[in-house]
Amino acid sequence: MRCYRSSSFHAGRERGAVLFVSLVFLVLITLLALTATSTSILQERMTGGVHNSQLALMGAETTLRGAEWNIWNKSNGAAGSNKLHCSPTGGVTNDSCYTDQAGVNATILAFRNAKNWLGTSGDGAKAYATSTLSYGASSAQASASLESTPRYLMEDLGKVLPPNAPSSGQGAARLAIGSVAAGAQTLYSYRITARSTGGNQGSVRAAESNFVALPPSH
Amino acid sequence: MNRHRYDNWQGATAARGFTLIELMVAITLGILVSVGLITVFDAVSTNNKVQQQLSEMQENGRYAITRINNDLRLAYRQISNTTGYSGLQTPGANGAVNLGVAPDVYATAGIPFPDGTVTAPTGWKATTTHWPLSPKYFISGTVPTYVPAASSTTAGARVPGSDVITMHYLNSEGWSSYNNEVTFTCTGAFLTSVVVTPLTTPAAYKSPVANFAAGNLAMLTSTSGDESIFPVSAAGSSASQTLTPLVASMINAANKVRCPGSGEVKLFNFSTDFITVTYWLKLVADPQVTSPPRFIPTLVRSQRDNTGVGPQDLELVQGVEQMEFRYGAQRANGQVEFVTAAAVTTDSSAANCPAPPLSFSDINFFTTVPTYETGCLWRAVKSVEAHILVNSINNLYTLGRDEQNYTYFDNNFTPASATATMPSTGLTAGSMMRREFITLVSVRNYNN
Repeated sequence: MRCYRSSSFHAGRERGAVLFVSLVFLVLITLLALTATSTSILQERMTGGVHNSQLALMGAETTLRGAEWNIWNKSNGAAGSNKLHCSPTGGVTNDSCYTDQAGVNATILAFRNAKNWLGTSGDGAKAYATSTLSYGASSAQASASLESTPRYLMEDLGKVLPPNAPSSGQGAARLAIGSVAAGAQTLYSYRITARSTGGNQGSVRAAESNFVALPPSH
Repeated sequence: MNRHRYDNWQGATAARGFTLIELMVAITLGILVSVGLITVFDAVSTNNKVQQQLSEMQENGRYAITRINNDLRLAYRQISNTTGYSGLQTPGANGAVNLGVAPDVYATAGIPFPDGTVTAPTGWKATTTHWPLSPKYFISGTVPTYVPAASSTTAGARVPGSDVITMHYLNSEGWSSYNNEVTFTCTGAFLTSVVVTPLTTPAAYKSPVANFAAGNLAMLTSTSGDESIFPVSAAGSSASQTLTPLVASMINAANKVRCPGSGEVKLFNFSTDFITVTYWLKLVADPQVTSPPRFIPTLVRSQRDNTGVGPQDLELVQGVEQMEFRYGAQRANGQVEFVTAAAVTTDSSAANCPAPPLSFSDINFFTTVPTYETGCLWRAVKSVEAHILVNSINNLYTLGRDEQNYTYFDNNFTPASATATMPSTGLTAGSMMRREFITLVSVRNYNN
């Protein structure tokens, strides 16, 4: 073969052919690989987006449940210091519980309706941080951590009365819990709004619930 | 080349041709290499098609389940939904059972839900001012009239053996007294008029414009627990409307809509904001395969309001060929069982159903002692599990049997051949891949 090639081709003139052909193939294969990569990058991004929004949803739901538990817990605890602090401006010791709403409260409105993350200062809300759960970038599980600690805000919506009940007097029936007596007692409704980011601020989700409890603040 | 070869032939007397052996070896090697290459190419190409179909199927399934999920999470939604004590609980052997809350309806004509007008419950006294709208109407597994009949061979038909789910919920934030958008005047304990002035500032959070037309139903709620639905006549512009109860269309001519209670009072346009959403599977004819026709099962979301106009039917995702729902209905003893829609209806007995909303148990409103309503267990659905079976839409005849294997409701299936029919739907199996997608949604608005 060597003999044939050397006699058949003019050495030095056509040597580059292999290089050229292989370069062409290299370019083709690179293009193919790039296309495949971009498709899978898109898929990766979509998966990341879903993951992010799921994280945000779970953050918001957890915070909501935590705040509900907090109210429930306080409503069954001893009176006195174990109170929920509600005021027209968000509570004396920053329980972020608003009461007696009259007129437009831009803080609450913003917190309940904003589509973006409001940051931690001036949103009128409270961070949901407990001793057992830690959120935020410092968490050890980097892939499952939230960008910021979720925040929540409560509104005291006043008395709950059963349908067709008079607007004064005792409210609805309540189950016996622990040493607390059952029976008709005046219950109050609280609206809790929780907001959470996902792994980054690209995903923000809010959850809201009305929670009825014995009044921890009254 | 000619010249080159010519030179070569001329000048090289020692030049040799190929021997037969050389040629044979070269051809054999060439064939071997070619066959190898073709095999590799074919495998890569087939694999690529399979991968593409898989990822499309994954994407379709994810999207379908997300859409269903989002609507299910809102099912039942009214504004005074509460959790916690809810003020209305009864103890069951397996946990507390929340009583439902029924809005009061003052309209003579009933509630014109697109899937069936709801009127006063049996035995309700005609002399009262209003009747309670049972929460059982807010979620349903029956096929509404606007969904076509089932057939596996007709374009536009519903896929046989597939479930249908219909839910109703408030699709609006409404107008709130906390933002001074809603003010009302009462005479004694009864409502005279409501003024709605939608918020325009701050601009980012402005409310929808006031959109009441004469005869629309208004829903007025307060956080102290009352909800009234009544027809209104509207005066004013979209910037501010004054609503007056439309006495001519109300049960009691004395205009007895209850004055809303304390706390936050919210107003909704019940005719346009309380929407009805139905998910069902439709057979859509494949435009590329006409003889014999091929049908692509497609997930459709139908949205309607209570005004009778403006239905939106959206074909969401192709290739959803089976859809089934299991309802987690809470029994009177607190136990939650996951059953089919038919079982929720047949299990609706006095022994199983949790106690009705308080207004149902008030003997003053009934001519006879009220019995449990038909289908009463529907008001106790606490969670819904959706199963959908998504296929890869187009036939891929290179697929092996094991690639066509799929799992549905914990059972393994492999279609016998491309012309076999699928279980319960009767659709032609074709040669495609199938995957099941599941979602379990807690209906947090359950206690409405």
